[in-house]
Amino acid sequence: MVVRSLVLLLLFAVSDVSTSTLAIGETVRFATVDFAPYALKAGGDERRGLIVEVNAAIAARTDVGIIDSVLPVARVVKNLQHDISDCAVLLLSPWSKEEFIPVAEVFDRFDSVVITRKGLPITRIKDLHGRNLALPRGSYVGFPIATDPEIRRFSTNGYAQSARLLKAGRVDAIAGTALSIYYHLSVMKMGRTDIGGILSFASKPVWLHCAKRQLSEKLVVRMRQATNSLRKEGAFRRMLDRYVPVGFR
Amino acid sequence: MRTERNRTSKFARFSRSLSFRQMRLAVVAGLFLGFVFSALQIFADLRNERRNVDVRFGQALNSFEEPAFQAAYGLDRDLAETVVRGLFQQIAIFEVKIVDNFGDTMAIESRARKRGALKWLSTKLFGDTKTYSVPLQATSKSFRSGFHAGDLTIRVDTYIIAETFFQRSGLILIFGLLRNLFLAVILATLFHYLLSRPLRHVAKLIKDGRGDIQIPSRHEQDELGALVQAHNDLSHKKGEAEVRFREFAELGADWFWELDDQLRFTFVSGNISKFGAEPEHFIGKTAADLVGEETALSAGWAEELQALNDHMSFKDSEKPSTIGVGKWVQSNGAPKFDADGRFLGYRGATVDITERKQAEAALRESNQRFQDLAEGSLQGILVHRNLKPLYANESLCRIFGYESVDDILALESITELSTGVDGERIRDRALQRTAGDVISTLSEFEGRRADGTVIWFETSGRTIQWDGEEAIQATVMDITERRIAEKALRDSEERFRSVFEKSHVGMAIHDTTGRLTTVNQAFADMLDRSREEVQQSRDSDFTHPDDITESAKILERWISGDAEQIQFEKRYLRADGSVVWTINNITAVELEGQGKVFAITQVLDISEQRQAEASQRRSEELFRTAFETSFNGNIMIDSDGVIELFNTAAQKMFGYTVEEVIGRNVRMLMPAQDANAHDSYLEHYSKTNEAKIIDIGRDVIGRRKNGEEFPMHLGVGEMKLGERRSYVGSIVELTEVKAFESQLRHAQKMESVGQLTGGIVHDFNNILGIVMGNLQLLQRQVKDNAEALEFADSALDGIRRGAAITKKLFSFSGQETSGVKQTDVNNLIEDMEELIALPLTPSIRVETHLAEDLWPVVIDPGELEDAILNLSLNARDAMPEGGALIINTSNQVLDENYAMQNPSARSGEFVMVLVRDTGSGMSDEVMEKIFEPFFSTKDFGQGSGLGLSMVYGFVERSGGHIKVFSEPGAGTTFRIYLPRGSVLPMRGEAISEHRAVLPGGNETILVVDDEDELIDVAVSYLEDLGYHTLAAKDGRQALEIVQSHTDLDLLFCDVVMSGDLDGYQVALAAHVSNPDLKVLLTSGYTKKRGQFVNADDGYLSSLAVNLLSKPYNHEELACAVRCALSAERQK
Repeated sequence: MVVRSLVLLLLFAVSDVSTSTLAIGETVRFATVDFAPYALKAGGDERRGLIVEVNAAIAARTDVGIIDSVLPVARVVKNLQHDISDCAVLLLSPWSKEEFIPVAEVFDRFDSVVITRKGLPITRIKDLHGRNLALPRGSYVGFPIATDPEIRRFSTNGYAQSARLLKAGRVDAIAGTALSIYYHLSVMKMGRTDIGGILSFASKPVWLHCAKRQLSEKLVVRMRQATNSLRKEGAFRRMLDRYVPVGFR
Repeated sequence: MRTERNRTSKFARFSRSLSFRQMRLAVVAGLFLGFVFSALQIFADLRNERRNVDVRFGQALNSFEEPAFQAAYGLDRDLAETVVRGLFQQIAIFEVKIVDNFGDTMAIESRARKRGALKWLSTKLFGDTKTYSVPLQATSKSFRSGFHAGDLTIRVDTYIIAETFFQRSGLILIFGLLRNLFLAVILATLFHYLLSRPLRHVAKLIKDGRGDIQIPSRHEQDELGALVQAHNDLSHKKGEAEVRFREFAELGADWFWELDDQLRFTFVSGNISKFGAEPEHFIGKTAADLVGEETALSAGWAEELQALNDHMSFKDSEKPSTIGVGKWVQSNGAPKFDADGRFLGYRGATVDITERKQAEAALRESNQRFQDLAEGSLQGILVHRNLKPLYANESLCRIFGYESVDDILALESITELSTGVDGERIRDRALQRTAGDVISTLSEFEGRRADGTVIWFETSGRTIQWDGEEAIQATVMDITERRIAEKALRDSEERFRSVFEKSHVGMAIHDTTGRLTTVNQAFADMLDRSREEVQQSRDSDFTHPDDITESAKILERWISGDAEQIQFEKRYLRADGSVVWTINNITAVELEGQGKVFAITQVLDISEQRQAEASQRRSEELFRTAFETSFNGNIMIDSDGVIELFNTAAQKMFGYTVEEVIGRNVRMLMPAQDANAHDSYLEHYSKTNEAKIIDIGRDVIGRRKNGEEFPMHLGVGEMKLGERRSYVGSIVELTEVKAFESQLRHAQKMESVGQLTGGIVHDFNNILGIVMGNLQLLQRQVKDNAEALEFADSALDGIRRGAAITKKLFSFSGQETSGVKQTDVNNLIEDMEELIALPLTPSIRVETHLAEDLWPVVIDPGELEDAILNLSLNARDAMPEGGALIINTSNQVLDENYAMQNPSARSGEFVMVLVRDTGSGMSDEVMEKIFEPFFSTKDFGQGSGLGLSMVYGFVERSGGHIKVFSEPGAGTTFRIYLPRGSVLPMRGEAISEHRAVLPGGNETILVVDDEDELIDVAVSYLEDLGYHTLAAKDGRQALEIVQSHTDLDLLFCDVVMSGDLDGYQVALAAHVSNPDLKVLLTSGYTKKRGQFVNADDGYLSSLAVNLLSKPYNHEELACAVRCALSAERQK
């Protein structure tokens, strides 16, 4: 349940659908979480974003067409469960392994962090006792930061709202995936010097997952090979680095 | 109490007042209208409410649609719950839910529904619940346009909405009621002051007798003023009328008088002076004062005086006047009372009637005289005016049965003395007389007595004066008895005439001379003549000539009085000469004193009956003939199974005579097991009508007189004559049919086995041909190698033995060989007598009986020899103890009947070869199988089992027929029928297998076969002989080559090939396109050869005869080819 929540939190889709030129023959339906910077609107119909690029690279390397649907978190998972989408990049967990087919590793670790306001250090979760913590609604269910009664929590619509609250001083800390928080803080023109401490409280690898009954075994193997080769070439790492704000590198 | 009474009295008066009634009416009308308009208002409110409900909740849904979409799209349960809770705030909504597009419920809120006493009414008006749903779709402005994220649904408790509605409706009704009540009170007050009070004042004045009443103020122009004015006018008119009355009274002929309440005269009109008195004399005095009461009483005025005292009226009182001597007066008086019933006096009028009284006395005297005369008359006398009886005498009473004259006088109309129609006649005659018309004096009418009995009477009438007025006097005489007698006579005549005329039976009256004086229409129709023609003719004029004498004798008997009634049959002739049979019944009629004057004859047409009898006899005869002469055995039994009829065919079939079976049960003709069940079957059918054989028919077993059982087909039909049932069975013996069916099955089986065998042999021969050909080629190749050559020779020997076996099988399958020729069977048998006797034991005697002038046959003589030898050897084996072998020949003609009974035979001329032995014979089961290949009764290894199958094949192939007869212990007879032969063209001598130098040539030969190996062998052979060769694999290809190569000399073609053309067809087609082309056919199988050998087409016959059989060796091929090329051109 905990891991599942983590998966839900990490995988956000934008509402638009990004498509690439269809490869001759097969087309794979990806689902991407609608959270920056995993999916970003670049203007017009063009979509950017870390996971969007990852999906496009995998599809191109596999030589298949791609339809990438940017969707809310829960909908990404449900699409995969109901065979509406074929693949998605998710955190690897026992739950994800059971629900879907884990095809190949994309990133070896993705961190979840708590970031405090300037002047408030943090070394452990208990440092938040009696403090206001902004947390996206429905995230980290089962985690201490979501269940600890000593922590006053404020549910937000997303990281953008969490960042605004932190900047406005209405909360003492915000929690979420590191990349998302960094991105939104940088959008708010906040850098490392504008925050207090950073505490990593969870880390999981990120894998390409596919729905169980959708793709042929051959195609899955090809996608595995493509993903592994891209990873080994360092393509994914380069993509990730592009999306980590300068102030938080 | 008084106050209360006053109050009650006041209320009672008020409740009777006009204002109260108006008020009440206004209140009722107001209430009614109030309810109606309230109801309309409530209905309109209901309609609005229903509409508003949809609008209201639709708006609620729309307002939450966007956040609901956000929740569903993002699968955000928290947001979904927030939305749901928001909607749930509305009390009327009892359930809200959001469902995503995967069908999962994201959030739901619900509450229990409200209950109430008026729930049922709410359901009727608004329905039980209302459900509203909106799909959550992205709008065009938002992302993912058109995406369906889920559905938002609310359910509304209509009872809550209805509650509000009910409250409003209650208020409407209550306020409506209050409004009407106030209105009623106001109206009542207004009515009282404006109308009721002034009206009551005016009424009081009128009651007081005021003549001129003043109109109440402010009412001069309204209805009340008009009413007062009318009253005033009426009062003036009343006064004028009183004055007018007095003036009339003074001027009238009668004198009028008036008395006050003390009976004193207050007014007497001037006419009283006629009686010598003056009006003033009466004023202020009573009648008693004027004439004295005793005088008045003596003058008969007691009644009137009493009426005056009693204040009663009197009318038409006729009394002698107390004033004036000898005067009579008629007085009328009426009392006067006021409105309260108080006696005020009298008013009256009196008339002088002295002259009338005198006239009445004179009339009475006249009437009395009349009455004395009338009462003494024996005839009935009646006087009436306008049909009302005025006088009737006793005689009239007696005629009409009334007890007294008064009863007649009490009748309203004299028409009551008659019946309906005659009553009208009486009325009409009375009116005519009254009008002065002259009418007959005597008339007859039908009358009705007092007790209702009908009489007839004769009457005459005249007009008289009666009591001073015109009346009619009628004299009445009873003629009932005379009428009855007349009617009886008429009825009798009518009855007789009716019977005579309407009878369907012909009737004729004839006199003693035989003349038909009267005939009825039926008799005339019977003779097809008119009545006029028949009447006055003689009976003998229409009698059949053969019956005239007899009819005359009968007439003589009748005239002589020999019989009163005579019945006999005779024939008449119709107008067209046709005969009609009749039964005649003559009855003599005597008149008193005159003897027999005429006879009545009843003539009954029995022609149809006679025809029916004749038809029935014919029908019976037809049935009997059909029953008896049928080829089928016919038996008729009754419902108990007793035989009633048994035709000739049945007698032959069962071996019984008619006398032996008639009257006995039909069971005697059945096997025991069927006989036992027959009775129960009949009984069951009688009860249930369930037929197992009746009208169905089936094969059963019969039993002859000698006990032999035989198969038969039985068809049973049912005949019903009234209640009696009979059954007719039609029997066809199936013994020969069964035997025929057995032979047919055997022949078909042999045919099938033959085809199978032939197919196998064909393929095997092709294989042998290939092997043989290659071995011969090999022989050439290894001719210098003795050892190899020996192996090749040995292999060839094996091939030849195999070919011999296939030849035998060929024989069975009906395959032709090449040794067919015209043969003398007698010579052949004579030549082989030694050969036949050689294998037989000395204990077997051989006899031959050969017919002279035996017809030739076209067969393979070698095969016939083989067949006879086979049969002889089998006969030897059947006679281990010795016996006789007989061989006969004869010419035989088989007819169509034989061919029908023997499926494998055909009609025609045949040479019969009979081979008979006196051996052990065979059972039927063995005979069924003797011609089957490999069947043998010998021990294993003692015979191949192909001998008789070879014989069978030879006979079939020769177009003949073989028949075997055998019985265990009685020997066996084979009859071989070979068709009488015709001469066939032969191409050359028989081919000899061993020739040192093979004939060859340099011609061009087209080899056609669907087996590549055989083509190779043949081509190799032919080219070795110097020929040029071409090859084709099927008929089509061969014909193409024939058409494209004009240098071909010979077509060497297999008969049976793949494709749609066989060798014969190819040969024919090639012959048409190239008549000079020679043809040689070859085959390992042909069923057709037999039909072509004896065909009418000589070309095909020669091809069939000269066919080269497979497998062939090099020499056979060389010789056959050379012979074919050397032969003359075939036409």
